[in-house]
Amino acid sequence: MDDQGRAFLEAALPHLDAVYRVARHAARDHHHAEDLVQETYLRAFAAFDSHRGPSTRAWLVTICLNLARSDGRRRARRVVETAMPEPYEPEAPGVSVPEKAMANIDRAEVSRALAQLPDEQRLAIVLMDLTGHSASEVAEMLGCPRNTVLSRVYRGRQRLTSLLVQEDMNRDMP
Amino acid sequence: MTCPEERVIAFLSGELPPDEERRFDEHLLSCEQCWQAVKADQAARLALEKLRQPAPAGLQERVALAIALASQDEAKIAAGQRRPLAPRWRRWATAPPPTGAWWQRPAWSSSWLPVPPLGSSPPARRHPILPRWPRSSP
Repeated sequence: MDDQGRAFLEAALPHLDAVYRVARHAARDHHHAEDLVQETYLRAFAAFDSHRGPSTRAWLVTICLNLARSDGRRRARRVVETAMPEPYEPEAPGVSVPEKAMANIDRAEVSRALAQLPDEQRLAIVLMDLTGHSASEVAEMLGCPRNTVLSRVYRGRQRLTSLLVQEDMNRDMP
Repeated sequence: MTCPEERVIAFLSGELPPDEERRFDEHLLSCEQCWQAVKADQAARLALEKLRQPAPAGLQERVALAIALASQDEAKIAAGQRRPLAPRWRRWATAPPPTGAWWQRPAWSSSWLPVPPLGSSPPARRHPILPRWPRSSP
């Protein structure tokens, strides 16, 4: 491998976990997610000369998202969007959160609930809560105002908790 | 009464000024709706922690290998030892025609065309053609 390849791997491989988390929630299954990650790194390597941005992680994640969109992989996972009322009104008097129920939630249940969120809320949550980007970085990636990102994340989290509580109640029913 | 969502979001993002934040803390003691919204937000963040999984074992090696191969290809192209591959459609379009007449190609051949090329003759029939009736004399 030449120097450029080594330099690229040194800069890009530390962000593999973050790119994989994004790919995992943009692709149908983990096989497609791994393919998407590999394709992301190959595209990024081809454009490495022109990369001058401050954040390599944000750059890689943006490539990954663009690939997922163009391949239609995101569309395969698309669920029916459920519009939230404007302005947001929590289910009166608010989502009651039983701590015990939340403690028993496993990873598969969280993943299922996340998949039920509207696309823009899920994407904002994945980028902020799973890959650790700041709201400003996510706003730049998605091309929308920072407040919109914060609002999507907030509403998405509220809905996610509501879905998890509902799932816990359904599980306890005889 | 519905409290403004923006205020809750600003509180959760840590963007309220200190005096405003202290007032909102006091507000939480009396507003069940805001209190539940803050609790739901924290519960979701805790639940999402469970999805912060690392990339599967072997993916790093796979990516590194793909980059090493791509790097070798680039080095060969730069040294003039190899021409870059044309896009797949161009390779297909400029591929030499397959040998053999159109009717000799198997049906699964990708180069099979339903229309025979000009100037080609159809295959001889394997079965004898039934004799025609003799024409009636004029």
